[in-house]
Amino acid sequence: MMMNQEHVLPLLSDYVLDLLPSGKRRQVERHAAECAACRTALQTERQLGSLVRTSLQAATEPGNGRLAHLMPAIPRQPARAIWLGRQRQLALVGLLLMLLLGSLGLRYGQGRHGWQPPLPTSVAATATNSATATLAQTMTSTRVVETAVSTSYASPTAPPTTHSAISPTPIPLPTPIAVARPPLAAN
Amino acid sequence: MSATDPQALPWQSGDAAPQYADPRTQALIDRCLAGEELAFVALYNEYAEMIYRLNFSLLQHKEDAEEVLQDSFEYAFRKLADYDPHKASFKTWLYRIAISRCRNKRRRKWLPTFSLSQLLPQDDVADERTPTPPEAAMRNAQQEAVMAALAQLSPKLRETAVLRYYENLTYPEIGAILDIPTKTAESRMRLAHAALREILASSE
Repeated sequence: MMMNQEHVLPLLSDYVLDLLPSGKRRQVERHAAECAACRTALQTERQLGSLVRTSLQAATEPGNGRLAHLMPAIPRQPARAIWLGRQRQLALVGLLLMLLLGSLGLRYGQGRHGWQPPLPTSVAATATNSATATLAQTMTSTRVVETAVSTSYASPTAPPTTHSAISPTPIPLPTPIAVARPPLAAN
Repeated sequence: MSATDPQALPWQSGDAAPQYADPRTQALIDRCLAGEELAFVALYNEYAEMIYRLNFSLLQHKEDAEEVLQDSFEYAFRKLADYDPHKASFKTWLYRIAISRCRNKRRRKWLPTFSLSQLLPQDDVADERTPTPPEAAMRNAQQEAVMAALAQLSPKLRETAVLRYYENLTYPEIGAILDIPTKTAESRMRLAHAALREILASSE
């Protein structure tokens, strides 16, 4: 037993510090269960840790409510709040950019085609006709005179003008529009 | 948030779940980062005592411990977005901040002469939990002896001993906090334990 005790004593501090592998831990436990001297030494080693712990616990006790007064100021704008702000700023800039591009695109389209309504090349009407008809009706007419086009579009920026020529590229119209109807020849 | 998002917080850059994230603390941190003031208060209340006790254990000076507490949380609040739960627990992160400031405080000012008045209870008002005078005297004597023994350790050994004995941290955690290998933390703890045993035995 004395030989075993000599073997175990150097392991006791590592045992209480959780520094032993499981095999060595079991060896210490088996030995301490049989050896009173090692049990006492093991108890002393354990007490050192608990003495430090309880002493520090008592000595470092903060005053009642003291810590609440020591809280530092809360930062005005934490990092992620800034990030979210940036995200919102980016979204706003993106929206403005889209509006700007949309506006430019509209202006470009108007500059290319003017205020001229997109009519098929086969469509023409006289400006002198007072009667109106739908585009469908107009397109069925076979006797159209290619002189001028006057429509009922109201544009604040571009007053109606007459055109002697019509754009050669056919542009489909999504909805029927009212156009001046040419006088129909007597059939 | 995508992995390539340049605005991503450091710990949001990967796909893996944060290794050290404690859901409750992480929720508080998220609320703080969203600018919720009450979350800052809750986070402080959760960890302030732990950090104060650590500071006091290392510095053994009440006012210094309070100053380091304030400095630590002021920094932590400001740098909250830098905390990465993939790398360490929030507690470990806070410990590192506090220990770094304790070291700076110690460098600027020599370790103060161990003052018993700092360690003795300041409040003389008795309550039903107050021990009898002989018990109180013995307890105080033990505390004084332990604190005196800790004060005799080198700063490195003291840090390790406090983190192990008092905070009950594992050696990998201690290594992470002190930025040393786990084996170094273990060997420092062996030395601290042996030194404390020797000092306390000689003071009996």
